[in-house]
Amino acid sequence: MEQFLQAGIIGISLGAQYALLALGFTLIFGILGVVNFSHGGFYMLGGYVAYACVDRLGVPYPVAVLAAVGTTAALGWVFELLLIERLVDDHLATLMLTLGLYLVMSTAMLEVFGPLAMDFRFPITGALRFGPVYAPLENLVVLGICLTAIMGLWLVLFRTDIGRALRALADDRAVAMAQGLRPKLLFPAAFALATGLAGLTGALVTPILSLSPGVADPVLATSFLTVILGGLGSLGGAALAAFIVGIVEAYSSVYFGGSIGALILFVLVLLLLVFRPTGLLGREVRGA
Amino acid sequence: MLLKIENLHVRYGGIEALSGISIDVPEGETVLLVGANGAGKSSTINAVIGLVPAAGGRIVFDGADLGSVPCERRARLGIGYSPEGRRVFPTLSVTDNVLSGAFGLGRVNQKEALDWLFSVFPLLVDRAKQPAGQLSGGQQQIVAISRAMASFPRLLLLDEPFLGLAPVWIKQISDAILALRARGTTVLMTEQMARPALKLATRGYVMRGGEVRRSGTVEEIRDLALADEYL
Amino acid sequence: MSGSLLPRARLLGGAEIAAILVFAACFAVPMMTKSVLVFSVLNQALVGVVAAQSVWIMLRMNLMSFASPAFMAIGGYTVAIAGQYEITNVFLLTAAAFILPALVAIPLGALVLRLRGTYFVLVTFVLSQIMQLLLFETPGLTGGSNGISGIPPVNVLGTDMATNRQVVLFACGIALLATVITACLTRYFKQHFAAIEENEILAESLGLVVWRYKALGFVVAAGIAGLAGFSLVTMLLTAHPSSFDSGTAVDFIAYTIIGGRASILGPVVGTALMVYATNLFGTHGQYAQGLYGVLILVVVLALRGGIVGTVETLVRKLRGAS
Repeated sequence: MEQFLQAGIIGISLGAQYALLALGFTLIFGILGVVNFSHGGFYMLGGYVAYACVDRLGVPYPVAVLAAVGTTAALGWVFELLLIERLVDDHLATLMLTLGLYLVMSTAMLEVFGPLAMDFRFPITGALRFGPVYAPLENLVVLGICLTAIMGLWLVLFRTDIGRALRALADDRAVAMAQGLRPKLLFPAAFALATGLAGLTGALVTPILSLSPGVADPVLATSFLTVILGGLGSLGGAALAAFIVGIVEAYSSVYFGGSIGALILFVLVLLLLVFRPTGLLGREVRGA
Repeated sequence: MLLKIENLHVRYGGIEALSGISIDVPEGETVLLVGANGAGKSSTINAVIGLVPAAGGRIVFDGADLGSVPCERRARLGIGYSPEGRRVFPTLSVTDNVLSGAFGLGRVNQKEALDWLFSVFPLLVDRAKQPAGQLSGGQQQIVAISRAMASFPRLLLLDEPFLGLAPVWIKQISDAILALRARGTTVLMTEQMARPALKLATRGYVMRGGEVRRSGTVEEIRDLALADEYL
Repeated sequence: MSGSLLPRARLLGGAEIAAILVFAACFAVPMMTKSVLVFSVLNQALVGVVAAQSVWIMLRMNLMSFASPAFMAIGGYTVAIAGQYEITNVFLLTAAAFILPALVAIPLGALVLRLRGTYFVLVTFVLSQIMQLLLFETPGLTGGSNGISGIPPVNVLGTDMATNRQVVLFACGIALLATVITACLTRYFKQHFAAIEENEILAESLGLVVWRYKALGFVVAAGIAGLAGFSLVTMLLTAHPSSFDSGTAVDFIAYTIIGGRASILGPVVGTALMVYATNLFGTHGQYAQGLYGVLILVVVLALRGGIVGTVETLVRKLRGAS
């Protein structure tokens, strides 16, 4: 029973991390129609920026996390404005641009920090005890921040002018522009929002898991899996799917071990596509 | 003259959709473009809002040539647009649809727009939180017109507002357009169904094959139209 | 736009013949040198080009596939497992390495080709992840994380391909075979693929049975990838999960995009140059990824035709000028 509860806590914590990643990924796809292959790269970059701030500059960890968010969001903004914007209607071209950026980013990190994992530790350690159940404090802190960020994203999207405009652009770009919504301002904003979230996740999670140039690939794969499961472009679907993926992963690693859980999840998602090609909460999206 | 279209050409690939039309929309009037499918009505509207580029000629709004003004800036100059087939934002709530037409105007103006539109269209209040994609065609048309009106534009473009609607909705939307007119809004609308539309208009243009065939006051057009093959 | 309405082009065009001649000429290289470095680079390129052609076939229809490592793994492990049963006949192995991945691709294709372009990309990426996990989770069949080593040399008409030179010659043969298959497929269905690339919905509305050509392309591309896997395990003498990592799909895509996606010479030239450039980095091979990244950005933003397309345009301009 304790084991069951403990895995549940880990699962929910993982789910919150995946949700931040998947929400960003699906936001970019829903609004711009771009499949962002550099999403894992921004996660990794967030981790390295936070690490460099703490280790090289001696900055307190919370400030380092903010710096990571700022850097990844700024880079996302510039990348969208200068490169993606030119080809935003060509799905394959924008996909290749993000792939190219990812390769450049990971090589740059390799050059600066080397191939080995960094000694990057979460500043808070210890565990809370609820009766027989231990909950690692670091996981709880990350969970809290992730949930806050998800709430914040929700407020931005559903309670502000910008958020409403972004959702309108996702629904019908031409009509949204004819209503005076400016893609030149809003597309980079959406991209920056999403990459900033990936950077935040990286800064929070890499000190707990690990930080090396190799961390980006699995993150990208998990983001793909989550958004396919939830339905490409669906925000609610991405959040729901993220928690499903997190919880399945946590329980299968406790009860089966190894990568069986991941394998089951992958195959389940493939089977889902047979019966519901648009994912759990997806709808027929743009002609992508 | 609020809107002056001079010798406008529009092409899609090699096909000429508009071959040099000229239309005048005086301030405060409701101008109707009537004609069959493919006559060039929607192409005219789309060229005015900037969704399709003009291949030749000029579009002058309030004394300024719109030629190099991108689509998203035209709305800010004071042109509201309700597209053919309504095209509401399906996942956005009714309120969000309406407010998306008033982006960046500030809370006070947005509230004023919303209050006014809610008073004109009680339907919006009942359905405020519902996703617009779930509404009926007539309801969506009200949402689309309200969205176009949320910024209190000087010129309202209505592309086939009665398309596919039952008579009860045509009556409601006619009343709505009259309410907007009472506010002093200038309207340029297109319609295949001339009869109900002519009740709203002050001037009219009959279009066919990408050209203007006839134009005049609404009485002249009505006489023509009722006798004519255009209906 | 049924098959009969579309004009069929000559079976092989200039680019196809040039590509086939390139690989025919490769047979001469091992005769002219004993350099281990040349053998090694050439062999890598010959494996890479087959995989790149598998990617290229799908790109003809505007579909970007990350699944090539998965099908390479099926081809490669088929050969490795056959080797354990002392089956080394080259014809048998080649047929198996092509047909098994193609067979697996039939149900998978039925599944993924129903999806729109964007989903297709994501799902093929997921497919190669699944293959990785499967390789690790089936130690009884694939040796798990140890892989299968000690694969016996391939036997061609009674001769074991055991030396470096013989292995390179064998890789030449596989590359030539893959090029002929790819050339025939993409030439024979040139119009159909082009119509799908141009506008799938339009092509469908004109009566082209789009899924049939997509499925055919997917199945043949899987077979070609299987051949690449065969060539790879023969070069390494071992089948190991890391050889079929989903990240390698990015390399093959980079080869194809950088070389140019309009002509079959694109993957050939792209692979040759990129493999050569990667070897210039020497022990810092991982930096090649950064080079691929920069080149992909350049090609997408500035040189849409890739290397081959850009050279073609230049030649045409020069001819026009003279």
